[in-house]
Amino acid sequence: MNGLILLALSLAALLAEHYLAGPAMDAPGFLAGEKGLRRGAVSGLVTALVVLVSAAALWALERFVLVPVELEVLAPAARLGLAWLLVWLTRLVAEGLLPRLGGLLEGYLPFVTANGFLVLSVLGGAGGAGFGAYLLRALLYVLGFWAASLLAPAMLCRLEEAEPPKAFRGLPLALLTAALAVMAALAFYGM
Amino acid sequence: MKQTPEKKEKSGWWLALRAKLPGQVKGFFGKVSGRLKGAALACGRWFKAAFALPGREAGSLLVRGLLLRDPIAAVSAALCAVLPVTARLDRGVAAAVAALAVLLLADLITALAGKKLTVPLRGLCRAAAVVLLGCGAAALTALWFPGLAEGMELVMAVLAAAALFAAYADGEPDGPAAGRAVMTALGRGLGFGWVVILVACLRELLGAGTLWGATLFGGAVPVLLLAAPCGGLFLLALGAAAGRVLRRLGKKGGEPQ
Repeated sequence: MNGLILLALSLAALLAEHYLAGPAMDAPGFLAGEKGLRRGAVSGLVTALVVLVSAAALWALERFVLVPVELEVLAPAARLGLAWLLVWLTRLVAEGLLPRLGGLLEGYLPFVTANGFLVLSVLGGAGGAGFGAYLLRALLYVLGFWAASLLAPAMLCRLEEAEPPKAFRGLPLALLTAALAVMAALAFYGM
Repeated sequence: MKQTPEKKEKSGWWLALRAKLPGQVKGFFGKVSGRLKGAALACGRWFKAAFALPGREAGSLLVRGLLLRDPIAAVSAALCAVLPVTARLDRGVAAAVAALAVLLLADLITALAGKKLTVPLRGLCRAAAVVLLGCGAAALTALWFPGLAEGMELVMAVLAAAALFAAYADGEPDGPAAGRAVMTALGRGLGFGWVVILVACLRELLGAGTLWGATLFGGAVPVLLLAAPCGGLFLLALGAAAGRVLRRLGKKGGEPQ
């Protein structure tokens, strides 16, 4: 069921960022228009990278520091710190080496941090799992998030052509479509 | 005749002490009370500078959060609606109460400590405060109400993710930062709370046929889909559309004839 929660949470996060947080942060249209799909794919990939590296570091941190000193309760703070640090490192690298990537993500890095942190939170701690098993689980979660970050802009692209009743224009229709996508994924899990 | 014992003559230092002591004690207490008065006045001035908000501004901040016009409250509520915690009313209420306390404390701490930080760092500090206080809230819930603690960690993660945006959305703090932070957090917490409780109520009632664990409609078949994560998205979509219709009706009603 965690995979389904991840898909629903990822879609809800991407749509809420696009419709609600983006305009308030002077970064509107995160996933809209022609650039939306490209931006969704690239930000999804950056998030995936951040989550994978963080998961590897978190496994080591949990195994060698947090569990021996019985401070597992601080794992969420470690997840947040790592996600933030890696995103800002990515920004520095992008500004210096890949200016096109930097330009594409300009203003949207807080979203990448938040999404990375959310995926890491759904992934949770290793709980005694081995490094390979934990990293494989992280890889599957990352693929799920990446699929959601491709699905959301594609969905918005199609919705632009729709003519729904006034009350459903924008966020309500996008949420309804996301609900249908999650319902389709529910078929793989069963009720 | 009985002889009365002669009174002992008092020494000079004792007499001098008795003469000086009242003045010295009075002076000491005068000094202390003066210092205390000064400290109280300074505290009052600081409190006024940090917290005093015109009633109108405080009210507008509260209403903004309550009506989900604050994007951060809306984002947190939207993300929380898909989590398993909103599939049961008791867990929804616990999440709403914990979120209100965590948001209030985290925003107050950040406003008092992080005035000079840049926006991204302020966002990180606020999110870190939410995460750390959230860990505490989850631990306390697990201790006092073990049945309600499940999923609390994810609620706090959602609040922390939204807190990362809050520093960008709020912009540079001006005026009494702590007062604004308290009223904004109160509005956000209450706005988040009523949405989460309403969604939890509907998801439990329609998805499981119960409310707070009690069966209400004996023979009715529950809509299991609403208890799943997609149920939260369905309810959010309908709620957002209903809110839009209500707002439009309110505007029409308010227009002069």
